[in-house]
Amino acid sequence: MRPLALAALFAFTPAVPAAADTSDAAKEAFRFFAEESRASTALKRVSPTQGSPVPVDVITAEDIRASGAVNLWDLLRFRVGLDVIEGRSSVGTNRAVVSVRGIPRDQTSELLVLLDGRSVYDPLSGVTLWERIPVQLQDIERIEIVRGPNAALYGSNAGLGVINIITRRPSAAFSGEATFKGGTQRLAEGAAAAEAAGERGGLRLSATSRTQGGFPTVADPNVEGHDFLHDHTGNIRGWTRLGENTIELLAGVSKQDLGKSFGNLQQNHANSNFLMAKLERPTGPDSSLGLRVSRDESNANDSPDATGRATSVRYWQYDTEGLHTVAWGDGRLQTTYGAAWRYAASASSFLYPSNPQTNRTIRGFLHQSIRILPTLSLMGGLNHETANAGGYHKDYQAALLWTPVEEHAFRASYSRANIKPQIVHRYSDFNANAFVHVAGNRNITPSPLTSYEAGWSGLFLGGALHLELTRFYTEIRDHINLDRTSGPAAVNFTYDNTNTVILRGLEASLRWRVAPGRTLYSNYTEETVRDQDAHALYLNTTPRHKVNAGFDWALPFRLRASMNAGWKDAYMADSTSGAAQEAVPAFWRLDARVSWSPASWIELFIAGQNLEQPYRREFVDGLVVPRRFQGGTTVRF
Amino acid sequence: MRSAFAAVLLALAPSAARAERVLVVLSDPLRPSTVEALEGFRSEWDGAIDTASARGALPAGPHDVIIAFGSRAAERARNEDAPLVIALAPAFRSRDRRPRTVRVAMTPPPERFAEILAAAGVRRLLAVRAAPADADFVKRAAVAGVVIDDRILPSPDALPEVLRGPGVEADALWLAPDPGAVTKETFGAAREFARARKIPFFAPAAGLVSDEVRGELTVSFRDCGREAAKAARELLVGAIAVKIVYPTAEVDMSTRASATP
Repeated sequence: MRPLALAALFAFTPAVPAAADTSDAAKEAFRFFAEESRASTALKRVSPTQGSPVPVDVITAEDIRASGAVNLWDLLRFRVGLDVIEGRSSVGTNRAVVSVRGIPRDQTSELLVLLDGRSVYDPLSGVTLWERIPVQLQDIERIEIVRGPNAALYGSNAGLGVINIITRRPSAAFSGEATFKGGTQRLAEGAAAAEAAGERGGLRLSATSRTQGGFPTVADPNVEGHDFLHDHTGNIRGWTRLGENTIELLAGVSKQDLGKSFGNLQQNHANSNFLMAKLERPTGPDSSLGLRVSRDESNANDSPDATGRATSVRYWQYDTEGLHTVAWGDGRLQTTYGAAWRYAASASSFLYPSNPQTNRTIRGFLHQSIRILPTLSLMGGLNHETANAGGYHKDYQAALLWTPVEEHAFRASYSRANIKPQIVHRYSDFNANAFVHVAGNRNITPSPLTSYEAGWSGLFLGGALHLELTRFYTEIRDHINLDRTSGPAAVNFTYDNTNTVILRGLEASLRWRVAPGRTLYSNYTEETVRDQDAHALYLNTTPRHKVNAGFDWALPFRLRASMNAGWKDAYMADSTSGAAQEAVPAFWRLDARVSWSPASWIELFIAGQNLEQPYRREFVDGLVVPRRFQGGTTVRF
Repeated sequence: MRSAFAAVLLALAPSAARAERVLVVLSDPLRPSTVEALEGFRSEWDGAIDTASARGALPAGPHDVIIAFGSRAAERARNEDAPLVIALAPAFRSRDRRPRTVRVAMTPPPERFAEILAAAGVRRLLAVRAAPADADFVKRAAVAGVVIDDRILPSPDALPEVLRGPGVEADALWLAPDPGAVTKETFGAAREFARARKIPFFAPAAGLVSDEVRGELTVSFRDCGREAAKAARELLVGAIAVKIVYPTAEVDMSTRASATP
């Protein structure tokens, strides 16, 4: 039989076993492997997959490969509980806004983003600068999205969620891949990676260079804006085993050239780099020790603004964490405890009256789970944290997990987290432009966040179909706002924390892995916001309903297709950095990708984003998101 | 006669005084597969044993030998200060270098493995699993005449891509008994792949041999239990030197295979 016919047969034939396999012996054989899989020691202890006190969503490397994503935030857009707003000017922070569980805005500090376990938020303001994260899509092994507070383990700013980007640890004897793609909006990208590994060590090198044009303007959607992005990133990851210790070294550099949308100004530059060392050591049959030390630095140099003022911002931080995990009491109790220390510093040509400003944070944490009954577990956590710029706070978590029948888990949890002020909230003193002045507030305190939630997670069809429901109520007191005050300029803002924001929501998701290479998914999110001070920024910026659905499907002739469709309710586009507002009507978004692998070592693909309309406004910076196409090839060896 | 009886009693007395304390730890919940392995164990072991659940507290020691059936049982038993036999736990990877520990594999000895394949005309076997194979097994199989081409599945979803990967040329396909690789979906997809390529497909467990499957290349849960008993006995007398033992049971072969070479 010819190869194409073979592929067609393989693609068309049903992937589920024939009726003969439904015998008791076959059922028991599959059950045995499923049971063993859950008992894997890869998690350092025997642990059920549904044992998390908060809902966790996972994006795998396979999902990333099939997604057609260009930027990191493209991967998050269609996920339950997450919101991504594109078409934003890159002035200051991001081309996209990513938020979890509501209140999307360009300085979202309630979402903690980690890269291989270490925080990558900007210590100036606590926001994540997505473009500057020194990671490449080809290196990502999985992204774990935790919705809801997890500050008892992660500390401040893990208030509404945690996104942990986990990169690939080299494990192949020798392999590599290279991708080249190009498309509309002047997209051009080249990426390559190679790795080699053995029993005692491994090494992976990777690099990506990408250029993207600016977004078109509202005034003339046919004219491309000037906020281009040229991004270059390189990473190295190596590990070795010394006795029972595993030592890892990770390093990366990234460089961005960013254009400005307003007035065709000259470009800005940003350079970031990091270095991280990790140690893992078993300390007993059911315990392990982990140590992590890292240094991050980022420099942004802006060309002179409209007033002729040159602006630059630099921050650097040292971060270290030690963690001990142990199971005891016949495995019924599992304890995790540790301590972390961080030194962050920032210097700027215009933000502060004196340089540098520093923030030193130290925290200790303890997390305990107890299996009271075979079907009932109790979890609790406590984090104590203090910082000279952020103040002192305590974070708690308590959760009850009930598994009345196998593969179905109910959970109820109470969490208390804190969003701590950052350097800019306390020490800033600058003119945003000729008319606007922004002042920090030395009396600002952490914003306590209280959350109650309940949920159910169930597996059907032998684990292939996963359903999940979560209902939450979250209250953020003393929320940090930028409020209008009196001052030296025509318009003056000062940071304060007098507001209270209440978020309520429902999250439902379905994922059905029909067969290898064939997945269907759908999810629905409902979020409502109440705000004591009636800030439009909070009240109207959260779309009330969001629905997403899609598939990834292996087809005949070595073809593969994926599609993501999302509907978002109407919302008010707003920004903390400007007074403008824009009512955005409800809209659909459609992304799709088709690939063909004529041989095992090569893949050709075409993809499109925003396919349903030529352009659409999502943010307030006078830009629109255009329909985009891209195509390219990936070769592997 | 009386003196003869006394002599027998005298001869038996020391062994009775030193009767082995053998503990069998069973994974919880108790599955039919574990029960089958325990039956296999009892058919080979004629002495008394204590049994315990991996979920509860283990009986106080000291024990002369502990046999753990399943990964959870192995996790539970590895803290004990006694020689340990681990069976029915293909995913279990112990991080500590525990002395006097024997693992019972879920495959026949590599030489027998190669012999079965050679009888089916297979010289190059494509093996799909989630974790790298034991290097010694692959080497011994190669010496016996069968090259094992291992392909690692990063996730069960990646099976089509792995099967389309570079250099996938083999006389037969085997889904190895690795919990990270075996699901209903991967089993079905692998079998269809083998059918389309007209190559024999070997299953990861005896219970999965059917009309469409050439054979299982693995051993039954009962055989694993029997081999665990033999390993425990050898540990007691201090005779065992290897860390992995392979059951020497017969292997099922389907007479109506999906394909023959």
